[in-house]
Amino acid sequence: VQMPEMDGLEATAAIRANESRTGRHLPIIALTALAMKGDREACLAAGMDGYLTKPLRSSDLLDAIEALVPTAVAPAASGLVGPTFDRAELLGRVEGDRTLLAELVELFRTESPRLLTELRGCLEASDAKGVQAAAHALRGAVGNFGARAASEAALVLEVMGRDGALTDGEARLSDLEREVRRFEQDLDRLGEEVAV
Amino acid sequence: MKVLIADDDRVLTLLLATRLKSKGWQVDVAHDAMQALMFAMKAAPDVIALDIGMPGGTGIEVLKKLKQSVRTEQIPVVVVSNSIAPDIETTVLGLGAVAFLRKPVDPSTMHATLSQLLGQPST
Repeated sequence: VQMPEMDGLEATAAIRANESRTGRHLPIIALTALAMKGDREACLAAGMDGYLTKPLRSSDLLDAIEALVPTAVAPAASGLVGPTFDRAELLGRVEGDRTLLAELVELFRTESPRLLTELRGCLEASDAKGVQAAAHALRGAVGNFGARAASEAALVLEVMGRDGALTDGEARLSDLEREVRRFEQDLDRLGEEVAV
Repeated sequence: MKVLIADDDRVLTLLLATRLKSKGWQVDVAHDAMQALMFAMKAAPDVIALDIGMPGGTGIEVLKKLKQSVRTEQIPVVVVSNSIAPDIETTVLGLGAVAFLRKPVDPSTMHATLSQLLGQPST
């Protein structure tokens, strides 16, 4: 919301004024460090559709975007791969080798449930070092596919493990599991595509 | 040329090994610290790509041992990591690693780095 030159409220007002001519509606989510009473109302009054406070959690942002533009994040009916990983980067890494890609995906499908189970076990045992190690391994695994949201979700747990601050662990593990699931759904679609 | 890839990330080791083999390299893969040390001692690789976040003793310890042993001290070590420790690159270079690659590692980058180290053509 607070930016140099023109703030987010003014920018929103300008966009909305323009849209009154075009009839379109671009969803706008306020990202702000302001968390005072009335700030949210001011943003919504300026024509914004959502409101998130910083520090921002990627999962909150994704949820907010999904709420406003369901089609943008939902699986595309055309079979196009969703935004959970960098498809071009991945295909470049395997130099278009479909067999290798299939093997990598299969390996990942074996490793990820194992690591998630390990992570859950360590979390339940309040084993911070174990949480850090399992989250680190998982972050590496999803990182190979350029799966950024899953990687960030794993990083959150890795840092919690390093700092021995596991209070929020259960919720963050749910975030991670959700991201891994979304990513695996995209892998399914990629598999169908490249198998053709 | 012979490379030892030591990393518990099986997706990455498969990805790297496949690319390097396709370029004519001999590749050994180790998935934990003990295996890494064993292969380094017995298989006499020309270069080692070492992840420093493996179970069973950290890669840092492996790096130290490699640099302490007369049998392995001359083998160049490329450290691979996505550690969140801010000074990790300085640390491993200080311990004798010759290069540092941050994960995720692109197979092309790895091939180019290893080739350059050993004075091989990288195409």
